[in-house]
Amino acid sequence: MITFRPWLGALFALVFSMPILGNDFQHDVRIEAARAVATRFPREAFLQKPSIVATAMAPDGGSVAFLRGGDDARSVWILDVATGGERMLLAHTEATRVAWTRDSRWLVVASPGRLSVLSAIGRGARVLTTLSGPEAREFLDPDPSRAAVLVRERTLDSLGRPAGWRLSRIDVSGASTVLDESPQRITGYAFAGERLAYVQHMRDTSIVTVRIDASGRRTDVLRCEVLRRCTLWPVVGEGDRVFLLGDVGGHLRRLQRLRADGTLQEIAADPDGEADIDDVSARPEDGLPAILTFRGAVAGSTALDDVTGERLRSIERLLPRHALSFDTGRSHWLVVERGGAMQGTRYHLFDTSTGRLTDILADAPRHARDGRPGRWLPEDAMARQLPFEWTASDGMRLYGFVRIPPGEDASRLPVAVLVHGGPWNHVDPDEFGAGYSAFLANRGYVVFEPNFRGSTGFGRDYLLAPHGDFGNGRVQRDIEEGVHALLDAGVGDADRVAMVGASFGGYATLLALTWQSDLFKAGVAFVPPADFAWDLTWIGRTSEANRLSRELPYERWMAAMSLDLADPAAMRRLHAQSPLSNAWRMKRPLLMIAGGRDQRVALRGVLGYAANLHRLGREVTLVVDPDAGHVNERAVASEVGFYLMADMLHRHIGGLADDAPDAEMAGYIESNTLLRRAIATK
Amino acid sequence: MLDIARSEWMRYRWWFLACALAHVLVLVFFNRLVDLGQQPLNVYRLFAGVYALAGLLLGLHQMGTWRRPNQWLNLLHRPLAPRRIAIALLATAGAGLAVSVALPTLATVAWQAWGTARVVDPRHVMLPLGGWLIALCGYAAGAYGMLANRRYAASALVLLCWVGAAHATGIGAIGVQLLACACGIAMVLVAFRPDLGAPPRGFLSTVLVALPVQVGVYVGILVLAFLAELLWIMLGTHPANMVTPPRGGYTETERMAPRERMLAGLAGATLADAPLWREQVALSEVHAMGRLFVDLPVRGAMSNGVDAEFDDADARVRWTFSHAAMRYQGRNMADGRAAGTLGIGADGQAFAAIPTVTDPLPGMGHGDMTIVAGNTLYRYVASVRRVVPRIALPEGEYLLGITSVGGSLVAQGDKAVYVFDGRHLVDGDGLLAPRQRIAIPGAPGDLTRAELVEAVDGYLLSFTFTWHASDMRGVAPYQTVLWVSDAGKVVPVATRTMGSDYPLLHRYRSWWPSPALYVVREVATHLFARADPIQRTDAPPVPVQVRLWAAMGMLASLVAGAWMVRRRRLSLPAAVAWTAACGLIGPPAVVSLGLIVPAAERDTASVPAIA
Repeated sequence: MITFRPWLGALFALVFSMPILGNDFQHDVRIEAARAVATRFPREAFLQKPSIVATAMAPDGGSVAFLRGGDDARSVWILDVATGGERMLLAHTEATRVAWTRDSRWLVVASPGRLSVLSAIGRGARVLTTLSGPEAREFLDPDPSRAAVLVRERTLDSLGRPAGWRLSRIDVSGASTVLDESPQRITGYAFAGERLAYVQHMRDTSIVTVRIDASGRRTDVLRCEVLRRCTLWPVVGEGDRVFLLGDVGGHLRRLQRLRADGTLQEIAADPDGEADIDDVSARPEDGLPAILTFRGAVAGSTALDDVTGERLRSIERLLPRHALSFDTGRSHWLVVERGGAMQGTRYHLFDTSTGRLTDILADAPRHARDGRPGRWLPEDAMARQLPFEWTASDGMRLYGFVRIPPGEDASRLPVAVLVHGGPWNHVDPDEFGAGYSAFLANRGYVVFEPNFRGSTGFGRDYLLAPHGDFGNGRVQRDIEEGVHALLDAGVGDADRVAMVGASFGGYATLLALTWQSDLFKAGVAFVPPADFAWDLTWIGRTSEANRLSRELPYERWMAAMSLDLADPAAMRRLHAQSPLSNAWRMKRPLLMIAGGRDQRVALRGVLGYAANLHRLGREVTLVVDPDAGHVNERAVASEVGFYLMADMLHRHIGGLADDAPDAEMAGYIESNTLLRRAIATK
Repeated sequence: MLDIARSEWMRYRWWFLACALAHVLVLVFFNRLVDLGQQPLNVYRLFAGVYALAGLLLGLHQMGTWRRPNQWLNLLHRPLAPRRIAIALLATAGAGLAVSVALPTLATVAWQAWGTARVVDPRHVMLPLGGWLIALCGYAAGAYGMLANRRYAASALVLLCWVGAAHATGIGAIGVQLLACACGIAMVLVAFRPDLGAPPRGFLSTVLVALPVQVGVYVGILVLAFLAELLWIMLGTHPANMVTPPRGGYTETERMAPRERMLAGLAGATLADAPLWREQVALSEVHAMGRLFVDLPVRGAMSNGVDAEFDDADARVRWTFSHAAMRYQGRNMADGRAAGTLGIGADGQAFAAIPTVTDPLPGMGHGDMTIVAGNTLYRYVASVRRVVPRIALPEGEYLLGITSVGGSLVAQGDKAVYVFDGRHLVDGDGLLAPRQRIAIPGAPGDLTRAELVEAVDGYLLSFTFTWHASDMRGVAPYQTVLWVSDAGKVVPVATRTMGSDYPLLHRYRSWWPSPALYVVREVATHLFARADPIQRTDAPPVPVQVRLWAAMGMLASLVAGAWMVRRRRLSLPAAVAWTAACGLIGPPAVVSLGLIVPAAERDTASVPAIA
């Protein structure tokens, strides 16, 4: 039998994983090194929450509606663009979203249990309908054609079982009109004037676009096969101009025009040919697409007409190197700005007539645990989010981000590899995110966030490239090769590399400590499945699978992602490579944090793995919050997560020590730690 | 006879009417607060206790006034046989109790039936009859207490104890009450004779007098044992109250936290995976499988053994189960009007067993409820007001409880535990199919606790059988731990036998004083009662040691009986019968002989005999 020689593999990987080291990255590294050493900020500063939680620009551009406050005390406000004055419309609400009706006279307020409208001039309010419930009624969007909202709900049979779907229009008067009813899920719609002209249904595993002519006759015009994206733009332009956001005939999500005969015309895509369209802003005059936004290796936007393009360029000149999104009104635009080193969100008002940009809604953030006002972390003291690309050993080009503590010699710093969850998710460019990466960079770590193959946002091919190899295989190799590429670029100390991740990222962490323990010296895994195949199978037995079956039935979706749960060979392979089956190989220090009510990652799997490690005498620490789900919403739990992560990395790869936990955190750690290996609580 | 009855009625008429009025007021008051037709057993026990007390007081007062020497001579000095006089007095009391006990209850039931939308079933119509019979039973006990010899006059109280301890329900309970009542009246008739206090004459009369005395002595022995146990508790050496219970005993196991109990069960496991399981249990939550009821609810029972109502708050409808229709009947909570019926499925089929309602399971919608009936779990879908079957155990099994564990549902039956995937509980078309079936390694009546731990590739289940650890009706305490793999293979992991913490004489305290009366007790208390399948136990045979102890008691009783009959004026057959009874029944018969038949030296005037 021919055995695979590890050194040969390492050499192979080294040769083929050489980074696409553009001069840009090296240049960025040098710039970071030349910056002043950053102040060490307190842990809680990274956990601040915004005071403005949702915004909406009125179609006429005259007002901005927004939700102000925390989870427990939220209110609805309106900013008058002309005067700059703010007016409270509703003192207490549980709303999570606000939107405007087409006529800019009514504000739509969506709470978890109901949908209401408020008069923008304070002349009344009305509950339009309840949300959720057995019909799973959900607010989609304001009606693009009139002062109404669109809701989707399930129809029930006589025994209360889901029988089909219904799309309805509810006027601000409360009058409801059924627009479409189908046994299949209704996934999209488009209006010609007030008439529903196109509707999309999920038939089997395909999305079928149906044209409805003025007489009501229906014709199938397009079938998007499994996992093909084709989202209808809700407004049909003059001359039956129908737009799709889809990847039919290609792999990137782009803007396409759907002709009456079902053929597609390409309209616009990422100029760099790398990223999917992430967002589209409408032209206020006719509601048709005007600005496309991309979130690939870098954030960018492109306009679809000259006037909009000119406005866009002027905004980008004023707000360079940041991710922008646009909520367009006729007289003003609401510009939302985010950045990799910018904590929180900044709001600006763009005057379309003068081109002037004004800062608005500059409320101070709130501290997560006690709600007292704080200050955003200074952007100039934060590590920047640097795009980083490398080529995997099989030749595929991969993307990621690196943060380097300013003013430090990057080659001598410990490296924390932060792996995103999903795996069908991604790290956005110019995003501060939940603060983990910025925090770790502030504690002296080079933070590497790989968008390994399988990540979203880079097109269909990128998404499906893993071919189900989520064990100690292709995806894990991507991450490992990305780290080697980074080290080869002179960033990071190869002897001090650790991995941190949540959910799938936690699984990757366990895999790394199991199979790549020469490289990874320690790991922190939040809610990690110890056996991906087993966990996917387990989900399939629970009601979580129904929640994940929003578009496709869970099993079909998994099969489409090359994870056929009914394929014993595929499942066996993943199981054989899983950390759970190879617990004896895991000899590195490990911290695991899990939730007792996690519906996505079975706690029993985490406990089983921890029990295995403990029996083998491994250095494992296990913290389980019995009331937490897949995401722990408790502020103290978040801060404990930050602290334990920093403490673990500090002890094993030598970053800066973090502040000791306060009494509440120490109590939380004490009561939720099931297996303890040297947690410092004082 | 009618004149006596009429004059007796006139003597008590205001009392009867006053009691009836008070009874009506009480019933009206409580009926405003609750639906008196849908109450648990203890509420009816309270009412029954009051009725029995009222009857007892009536009997004591009525016969107490008549038994005074002058009154007694006056009463019997009529041209009527004493038995007919007694019947007249009894009939008057019966009529009076019917007016004060049965009529108000009957009127309340009638008002419920025709004046409200509340559920009224035939079982409710039995309530006035039951109340009257219990009151009459109390009356007989009171009357007998006044007429019989003071030394054993209290023995008729065992009839009330019988009614209280009987397991029969519905029409069966009426049967028991009728029998107890008949016995009481027969005892009164035996005692109602000119020479009050004299020993009974004739075989049947003697048995009618002696058996209650013997049962009373037997009950007294049990009460003494209970008092001794109280003293034991006060001394601080009772296993149930010791700070540190006996090591390895069932008390220790009962006091353990679920995790400790599971680990104790695993302590003796020798399988290769046992060390890993111990680690896993130490980290995991141990899920206790809940049981919705101890006794299986019975159709036609006068009281509600399980919760028969639930509210649909959004629809403002209270659903109450009707034993007659075997469907829920709705009543509008706002105006009290009828709001339709609720059966199974779209066509509203009748339930096959009495249902009970429990909390909604994860994933169910707002207002939904879980209904368990027989072997089936149903979902009440509030949005469409329908009941849909979701889980059914095999025919012949009973669903006792449902527990949500992780993303799964664990159903505990009387014979097995089933694990179901929770995914399609709400939106599935048919009944859920179990992923695993784990036969319970013991009888349901012995099972105290069923606990479960999720492992990655299966479940660990612990079953603790200690329900009858301190009495003889069930198995000696033990714990069994099973492993069931994801594929459904069940592997016994370990079985741990526990000490019962009590000496054998304590565990068999209701048997060895009189095995014969124990049989009488068991027959009497289970008379007309349906065998409850979920109370089935694996009681072992009585140990030889205890049998020897009982035999010694019976032998001693035989000797004592033989010695005692020689000191009493008894005919030879009577003497033989008493001696045999002492040998067969044991100490209670000896005591009854001493109480009923006076020694010859003390009372030479009366000569008891058996005809």
